[in-house]
Amino acid sequence: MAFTGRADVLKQLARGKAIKTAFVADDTGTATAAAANSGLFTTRILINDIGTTYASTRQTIPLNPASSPLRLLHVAVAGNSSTTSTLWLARLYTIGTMNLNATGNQFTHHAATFPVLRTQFGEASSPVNLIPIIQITTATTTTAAVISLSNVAGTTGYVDQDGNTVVGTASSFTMPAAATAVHSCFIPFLEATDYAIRDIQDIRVHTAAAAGAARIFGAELISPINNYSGGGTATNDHIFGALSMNDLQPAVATSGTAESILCVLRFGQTATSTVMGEINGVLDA
Amino acid sequence: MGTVLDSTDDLIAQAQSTGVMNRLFYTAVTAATTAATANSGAQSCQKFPLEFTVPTLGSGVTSMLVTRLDMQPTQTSIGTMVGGILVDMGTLTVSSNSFSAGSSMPSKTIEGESITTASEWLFLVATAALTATTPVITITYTDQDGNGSQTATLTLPTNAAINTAFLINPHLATGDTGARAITNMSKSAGTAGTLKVYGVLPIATSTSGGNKAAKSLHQEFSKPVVNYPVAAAEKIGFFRIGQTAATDLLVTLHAIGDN
Repeated sequence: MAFTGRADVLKQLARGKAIKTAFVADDTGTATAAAANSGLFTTRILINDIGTTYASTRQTIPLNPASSPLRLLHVAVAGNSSTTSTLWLARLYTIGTMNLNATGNQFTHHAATFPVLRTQFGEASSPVNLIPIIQITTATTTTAAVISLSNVAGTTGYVDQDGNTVVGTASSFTMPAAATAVHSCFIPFLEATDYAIRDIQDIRVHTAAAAGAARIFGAELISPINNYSGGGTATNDHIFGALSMNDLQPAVATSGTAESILCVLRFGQTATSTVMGEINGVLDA
Repeated sequence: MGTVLDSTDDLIAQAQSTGVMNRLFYTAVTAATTAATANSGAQSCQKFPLEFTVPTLGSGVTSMLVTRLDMQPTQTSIGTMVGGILVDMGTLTVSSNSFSAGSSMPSKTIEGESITTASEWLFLVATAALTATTPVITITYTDQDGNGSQTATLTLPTNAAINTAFLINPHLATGDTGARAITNMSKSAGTAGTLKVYGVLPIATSTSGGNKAAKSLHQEFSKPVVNYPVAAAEKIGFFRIGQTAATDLLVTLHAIGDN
């Protein structure tokens, strides 16, 4: 039964057909800042503190084991950082991994088949557009690696927001430093007029580092959370303030099982930080 | 006159005719609690010992509406505070592995409809320190839809300290979001201690940025949350999520009677 108004939502909350969760999310180590040729965005991934071992085991922000859709009502977050940055609540889907210590096609796709799908604007099984994020899992050494979202043959690269296969521009991404720190994250450039991906098919390493590896995520942005300096609290109401009751539960893979975590993305700072927050959501009636 | 939330005018009129309740509380978790693990809620939580019992309400006042609940821990680290109607749903005595049932979640009139509530927050609390090596606690409950014999399983860290709380919500059975009642609890190991399950209907939550001199929260009329009417003899309790350090807690409560 569809919600007909605020009263229906509140009754559903009182019936306990809702989720309440709180979390502490953080990261570790000082990252390497992005540069002009490495996406322009310095990005950190803040993951649930308990249960996470960087970078091998990533504990999602816990939710009740409720069904989908689980509609976001409200999120509030405070941080301990003294510098202002932008925070987003996001779901990260693991697309694959890549080596940075050899040239050529160096991308290994996750077993799940992308795109991931959910009901959007009334259309079931609609592909979800994601923001690609590269997270360094083994620090690079000696040489700043150069990569592109393409393969050696020049036939594949990524699937864009419209479902088109796109071969990325050669040498379009250069690590910001020969020694790019582990846990540094970057958003790679896409081709002109593209703004999201549905999948990554291959990544070519044009110039290899002596060592290095990365994990590739696709980020589904769920809620903006602005962080104010000095530990202030920011609140986002997704009914009265935004009318965007996004589904907190993950989208499903085209085939196989997608791996995803609910986390906080932090843009603009290289230092570690800790954020504390609460999330409220409701099941459909 | 209807529920005070019908209008601000109602609220003001009720404040004038029946008066307001103002309370100031002090409570403390005097010793560090035990950190959670991924198998015991994934969030470190604490329950404060103070439980405020709502006194007998005046003639014609059927319940009270908390219009402001400020919760201010004195410890400096960030955390989320939860204040809410506290329901003792059951107790497990570890030494004898015996369960005694508590109360079911209450019925509340919400938006004109009588609703059988289920917990929004569900905590497992060590009300006496445990002597137990990673005990597996199995909780049998009736879920939010009234289906019985559902189970949640937590593996607690060793020797959980008094006032340690573990969030049960992530460990409910697949598809479940809350509990109406607890029908059994059991442990796999342990020789001492007491565990209670508390269901909580939140009145206010507060996310603190770590400045111990600030960060309280008003009643949340502007948020998409339920403003639960609180009945006489019901209890209000307080939890802190995200920390294990000892801390004092100062609470101010303001409420208006409803008829």
